[in-house]
Amino acid sequence: MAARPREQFSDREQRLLASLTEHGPGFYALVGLLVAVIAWGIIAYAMQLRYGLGVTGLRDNFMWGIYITNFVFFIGVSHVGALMSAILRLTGAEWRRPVTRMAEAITFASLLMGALMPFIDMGRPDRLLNLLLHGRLQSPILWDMLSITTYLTGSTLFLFVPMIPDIALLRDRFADGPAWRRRLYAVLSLGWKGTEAQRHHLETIMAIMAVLIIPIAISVHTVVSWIFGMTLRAGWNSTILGPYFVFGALFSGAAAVVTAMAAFRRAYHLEEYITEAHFRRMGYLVIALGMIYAYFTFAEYLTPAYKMAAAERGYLSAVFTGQFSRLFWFTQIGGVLLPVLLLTLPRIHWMPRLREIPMLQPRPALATVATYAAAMIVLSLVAPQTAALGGVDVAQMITPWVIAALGIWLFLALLPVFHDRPIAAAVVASVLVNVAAWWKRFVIIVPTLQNPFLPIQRAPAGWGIYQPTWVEWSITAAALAGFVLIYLLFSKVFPIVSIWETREEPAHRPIGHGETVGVSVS
Amino acid sequence: MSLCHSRRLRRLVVLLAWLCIALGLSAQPARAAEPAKVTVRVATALDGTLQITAIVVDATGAAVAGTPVVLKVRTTFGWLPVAKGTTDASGRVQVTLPPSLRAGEIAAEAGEDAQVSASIRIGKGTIREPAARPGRDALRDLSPQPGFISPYPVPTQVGLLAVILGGIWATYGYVVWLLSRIRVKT
Repeated sequence: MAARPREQFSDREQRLLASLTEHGPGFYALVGLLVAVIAWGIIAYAMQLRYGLGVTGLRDNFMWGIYITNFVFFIGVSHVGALMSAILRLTGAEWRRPVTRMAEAITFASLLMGALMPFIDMGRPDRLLNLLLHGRLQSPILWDMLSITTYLTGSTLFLFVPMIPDIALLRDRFADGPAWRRRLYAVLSLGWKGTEAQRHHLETIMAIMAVLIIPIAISVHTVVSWIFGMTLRAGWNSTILGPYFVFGALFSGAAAVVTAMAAFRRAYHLEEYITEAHFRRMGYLVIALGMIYAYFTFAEYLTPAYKMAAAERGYLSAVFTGQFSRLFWFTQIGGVLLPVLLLTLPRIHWMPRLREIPMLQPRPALATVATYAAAMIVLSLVAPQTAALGGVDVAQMITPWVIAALGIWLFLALLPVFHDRPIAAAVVASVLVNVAAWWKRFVIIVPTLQNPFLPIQRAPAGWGIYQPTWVEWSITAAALAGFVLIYLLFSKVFPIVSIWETREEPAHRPIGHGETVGVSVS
Repeated sequence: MSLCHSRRLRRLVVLLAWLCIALGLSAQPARAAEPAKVTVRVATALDGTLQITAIVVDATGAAVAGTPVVLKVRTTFGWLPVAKGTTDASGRVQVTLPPSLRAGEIAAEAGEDAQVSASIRIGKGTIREPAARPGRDALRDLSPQPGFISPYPVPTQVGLLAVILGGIWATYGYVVWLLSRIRVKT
């Protein structure tokens, strides 16, 4: 098979392929940092294996903690690649072309990390074999294992198949490149030449996978929710937990794609391919999913809260007004309301007029909030926290009203800034969604375990609440670093923007407001 | 000569005496109440409950009193202890099990370290009740959702899962076959 000489590659192809070979010091620094975090996580896991789950905050009544929070979070984020990409492919949405591979790669990376978490949650991972030998078909745990395996296989195929023409391009581009690249691309390109018969097969496969992956993706997170929903516990005993999880997953996944788009756009100089219009359209998707998610949250909590059954009262009180209330309201206000407002309000045309109001200057507002936050942090570090010593509980000092007032002030002051920088607004909103999504999974899991129907009895002091230890935080950080590293290395081996699909896109196709996402046809 | 001979004889006698003492000290008295055999019997009461009787005897065939006995039932996950007891003066332990247990294997382990054990099969042909339908009858009296908590695969559930997963994986197979066609066509 004759390789194309390098000079025959178009400028556009050269530019997209450049990200695969050009590594700046920032890349190496990031990889070094991620590897260090992963290494630290491995040390923490070795501690856990050596000394048992006693080194974690997990106890008899808290068999699930932040490991399962990570599991639900990563599996949730993985949804977007399959679902968003498949739906946009089937509906022929042309603007999707530069972003679908990013979404599909997110699915792959986050599934790998998510699937690891249940093993880490097991004190004896070797006992996984028992699930295979003695697993019961009636158990949601076994359903989960089967569905995640099926989904991982399907999403890998769904990621791989549209990459074949690009891999063939890489095979030609790196014909005189490193041996490992030559071998890898030669095997994975499946001898692609772009013949009519090959294109026909490729289109058939993509159509099949796009239809098939949608029910699989939906079923996976539904099954994840059933791990909780099939048990008789306050907060989990719900019929709508399945769709609630699915839309929560899509919401956080779409936000993750926005973050990835912004990161790659900046790092790989993809401004020509990932335009502001893409952020706007993804923003619409995030808004729509956020509103559906808010509806499900409302329905999910209103039903038991209206009745306030005695057995569920402790759980609901802890979530709404008690120990977990700050986290819960952060997930709702900071993770749903604020992102939706950030994606909508800055687009109002008279928003820049807010600059004319003296009280709404961004710098004083930012300085005030930063000073307040710094003062609270310093106070929490230096002041004694024991009441008997005349200490103060800093967390109690930060009243919700102060946070709300400062937040609204800062938000209004920054609206004109976000009006001028819509991509920054989308990134801030998406990061907020993902941080809140992780904490929401925590709020789903831990308060329920802390408020069982039968009281926690004969447990040593301190076993009645869950406090993650450094081991769990280290492994969580390592999982996040692993996700980023897999994603980063993927983008260094395969083009993160589909070359052949964007090439087939009509040049300068208008997608609204005179903006274009088209690229020159090579 | 005779003096020497008698000295040797005396030494031999002393040696033998020490040997006898050593043997006498090392020998342990026979334990009369050590379980050597356990027998399990099953009888079905009129209400359908199972009367399980374990009889423990020692090496001489005498009843052993005060010996712990654990009764176990074989399940998919191994032997599940269902009752414990201590033998009475006649070496017997009697336990009543619910009628839901209609087929299977019951074992009795006797002694502190379960030195002796015996098992008996119950079910079709042994007990008047017919064999249980897996996943349905075995736990009917114990659970309101026998289909879902049964330790046995329920045919309907197996079929449903096989259709769904089989369909998906068969489609994956078709996709892989199509991928192989891409390579063949070059």
